[in-house]
Amino acid sequence: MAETTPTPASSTRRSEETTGAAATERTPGTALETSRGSTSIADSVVAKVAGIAAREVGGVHALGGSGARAIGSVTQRVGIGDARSQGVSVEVTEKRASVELVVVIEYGESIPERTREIREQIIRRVEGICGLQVTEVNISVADLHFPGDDDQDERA
Amino acid sequence: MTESSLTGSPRLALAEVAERVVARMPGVALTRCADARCQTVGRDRRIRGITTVAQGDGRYELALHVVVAWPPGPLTRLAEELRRRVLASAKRAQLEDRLGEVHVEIVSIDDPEPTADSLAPGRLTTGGAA
Repeated sequence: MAETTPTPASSTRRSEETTGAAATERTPGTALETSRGSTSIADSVVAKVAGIAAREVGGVHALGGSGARAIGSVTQRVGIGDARSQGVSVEVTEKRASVELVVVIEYGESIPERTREIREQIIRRVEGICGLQVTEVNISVADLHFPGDDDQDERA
Repeated sequence: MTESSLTGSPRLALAEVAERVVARMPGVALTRCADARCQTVGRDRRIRGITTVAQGDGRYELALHVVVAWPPGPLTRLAEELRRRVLASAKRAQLEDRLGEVHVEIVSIDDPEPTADSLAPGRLTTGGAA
């Protein structure tokens, strides 16, 4: 059950219009050069910002497909994984970032509305915090979460 | 605080200045990186999360490897503020002439579900970072 909802052109245009000042010089690894030194933001930070932003939207149950969540639960237990960027991948180029996201939505929520909110929240956060222009946010809804699913998982 | 009140070499003294700046800045902590590439090691001190490298002109370039708290505010502004404070502290310590470029590397971000192993203990508070 995967529904991909690519970024509408309007979102992309909005991000281009609103980030002129925020998006200063950035290249992967050596970002934001100033006369007194440089600032670099790890790609994992951008992914985490996007992941946290997505989880701030109501109706988002989890990030990542079932496989990613199963692997994530193991890697987190041994301390090498992070649920906050699970299901998120980012591609950062000079001044710009694109985000791919896999989400599980609560059953009964409007998927188009939730994905629109997720997209707007990710753009707002990544542009505001990282100073990167978000060119696209592609969201894949991998599953729906039903009330009681967690109880069944625990019993199993 | 003068240069003489800090640990011997200017390299270590600058690292200590930067360490104090980060410690006083809300929402920011140095990484506890054990890798030699993100530490400054002196005869009797090891400062994690800061590298100090001689530039060749008598000055030392600093790199601060930091973790920031969620929500962090604009990271570029945060880095600029860190840089400004390091410079001001170096001036007060009469180390301004020895301070080269100050690089800020934001290696991780923390949120309301912290992972204890990514942070220096008791150093990170949320909000007000930028």
